[in-house]
Amino acid sequence: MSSMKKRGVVLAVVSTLAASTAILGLSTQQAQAAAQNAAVTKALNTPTTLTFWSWLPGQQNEVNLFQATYPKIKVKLVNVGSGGTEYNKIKAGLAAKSGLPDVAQVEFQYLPTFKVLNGLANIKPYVASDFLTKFPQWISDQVSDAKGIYAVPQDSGPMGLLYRSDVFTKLGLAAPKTWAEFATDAAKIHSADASQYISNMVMDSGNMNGLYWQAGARPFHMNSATSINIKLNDSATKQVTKFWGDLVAAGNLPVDPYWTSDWNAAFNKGKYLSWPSASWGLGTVTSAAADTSGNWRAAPLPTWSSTPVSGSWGGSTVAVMSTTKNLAAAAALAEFVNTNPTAAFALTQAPTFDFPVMKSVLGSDGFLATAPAFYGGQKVYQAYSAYNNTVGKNYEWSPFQDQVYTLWTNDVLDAILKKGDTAAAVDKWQADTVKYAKDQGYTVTTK
Amino acid sequence: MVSMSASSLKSTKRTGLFFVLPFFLIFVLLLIVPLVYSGFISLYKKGLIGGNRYVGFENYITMIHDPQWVSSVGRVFLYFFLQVPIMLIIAVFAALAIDSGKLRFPKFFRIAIFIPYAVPAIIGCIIWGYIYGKNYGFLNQLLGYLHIHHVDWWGNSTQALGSISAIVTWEFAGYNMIILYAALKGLSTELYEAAAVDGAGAIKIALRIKLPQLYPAIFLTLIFSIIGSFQLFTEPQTLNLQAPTVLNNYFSPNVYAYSVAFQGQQLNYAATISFSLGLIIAFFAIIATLVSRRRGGDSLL
Repeated sequence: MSSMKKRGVVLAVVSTLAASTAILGLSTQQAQAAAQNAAVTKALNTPTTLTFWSWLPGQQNEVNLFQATYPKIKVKLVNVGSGGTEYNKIKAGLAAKSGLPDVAQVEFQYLPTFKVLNGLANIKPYVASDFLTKFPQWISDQVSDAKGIYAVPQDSGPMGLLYRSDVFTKLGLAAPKTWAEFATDAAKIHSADASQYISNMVMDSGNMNGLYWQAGARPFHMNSATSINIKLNDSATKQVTKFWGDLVAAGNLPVDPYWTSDWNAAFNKGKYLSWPSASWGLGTVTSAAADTSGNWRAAPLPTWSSTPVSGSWGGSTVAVMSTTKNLAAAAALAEFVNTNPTAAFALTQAPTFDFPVMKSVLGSDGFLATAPAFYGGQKVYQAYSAYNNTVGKNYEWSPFQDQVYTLWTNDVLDAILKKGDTAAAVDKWQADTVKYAKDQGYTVTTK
Repeated sequence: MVSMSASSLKSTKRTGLFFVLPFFLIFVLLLIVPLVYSGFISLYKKGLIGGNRYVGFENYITMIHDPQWVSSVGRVFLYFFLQVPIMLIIAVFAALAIDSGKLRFPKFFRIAIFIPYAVPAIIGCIIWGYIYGKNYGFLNQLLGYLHIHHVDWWGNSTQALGSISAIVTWEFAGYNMIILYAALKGLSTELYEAAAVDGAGAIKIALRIKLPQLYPAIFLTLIFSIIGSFQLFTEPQTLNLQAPTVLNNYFSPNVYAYSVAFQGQQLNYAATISFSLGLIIAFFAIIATLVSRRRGGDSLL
């Protein structure tokens, strides 16, 4: 209460100032910014403990930097589990209206989900006035709308192809430029040695979604807050699904589950010779396949036509939970860990290996010069920066993305593994998703 | 003993109440209240869009026609008939063997069989996840040395039930063994002595004297197992990554309820599934009790 009062006083003073300074040529906008900064400054000088949920390796480094800068603030960084595990806890907390952190890592693809659940605080009043211009347009569009800003972008996941150049060269192959070449190479590689495959089947819904994205699928569009367009069964999605289904049916791809120790071992033992993966996959392969260090390279994702185009997979933000009692301090923490120049650069280095979303880091020499020995000294970030520029634009996520992914696993992946009709499976995915959306009260169009 | 006066009876009652109060409070707060609440919210429906509304039994009707729910319930039935007999036979056998006095190092065996129960289920699942690993798992590497082709331990849902049964048997056989062993320790030894005098060996004593007296305890473990089987959750949920399409989001009713609640944001429907599962478990526990009573078994419950 008292702090509210004080803030009121500050605001009153500032608005009086604004009125008077307007005459002196200062815009009201600048005066407002001054008021916002005052609220943040005050919060950062008040002893506060903030809880921050994140599964990002190395996030503690940026948190330490924040605590060193603002010693009054204690940050409890907790890893409650990655991705879905954390989201389920947030959703349970939102339903119970308690038990939530002040700040949490949320992937771009789940921002609409948490927005519709009223889980994200509007941090626009507390962040820098040029906040949105620090990121490329397609990134800032995903965290903001006309009314506010709901998350601080952390990293993105432009996709490329990580491949074993040593084995490819031995077989007289270059990195496949098109998916047609990828399919031909798949057969050659497996027939040359029955224990090796061009890659694993894309078993992960988000991974496959990135490939649909690349092929031009744009399945979701909000017509309004209560009306959604759903078009999961377009020709691009069917083409990509059939492509992978055919490779599995021909026996040229193994169907190993992702994210298991077995999957890591398969990379290390040379069972998979490539992986169409996001930028952060650079780190995944580095830790999984230590024995093959020096033999991996990055190449652009194979394409469906001659135009270079990529998709995106993953990429996170740091969002302030709507339930926080320390909004100003929490917003400052979220903004700091991702946009403070030192912190933002640290995110791109070991052990995090985030692909940055801040223009200033994206273009910095220090970042672009990174040349890990694991990738034979290739300037992999320079390569991924090029892929990043070709990521298909205007992609929208649904406000129930995890349900969409669960249904993909049940309908589409299941059909691929059972060597069934992939087109029918994609149609079923569409039908099940539409049914779900209607059940949740949405008006659904399917253009 | 002098007959109690009305007032002292009353105070005894009050003392009794005092002793059960802590349990009773927790029982009401953590079991009855959530139960009533989930029954209550199962009659409502709240979507992401639009408000909360009363729908009567609509969620229950949806559930009965939901093929995923039907398949999840069918699967735990199959699982119950597959896993429970094996586990209880092992538990009975182990309890009788340790109690027979013919085993060397009985304390070692007792602890060795019981110890998996002390391993947290999640840790157990991680261990078994490695054992069942598709390419480089313990079992498949072992088969590889014997030149036997790799087995996909999660190949289809029936195979997966078998693989999960092995995990749960490993986890819970020891727990049931301890219950049975404790019951055996409570039996009067006079009968054994008499039987031994009549020339009965250890095996005959176990089968003819101990086993019949063990029925009430076996029945107790059976009831626990009914509850445990129908509530199958931790193993398929934790091992989901090993086989996303087989250990899917409707592998068991509880896994389905969890997915519906937290992935699907359909809390009312999840409450419907949970509440119904409670009713199903209660129904079968009662059937089991009735069957055991009819057989003249003296239940511990």
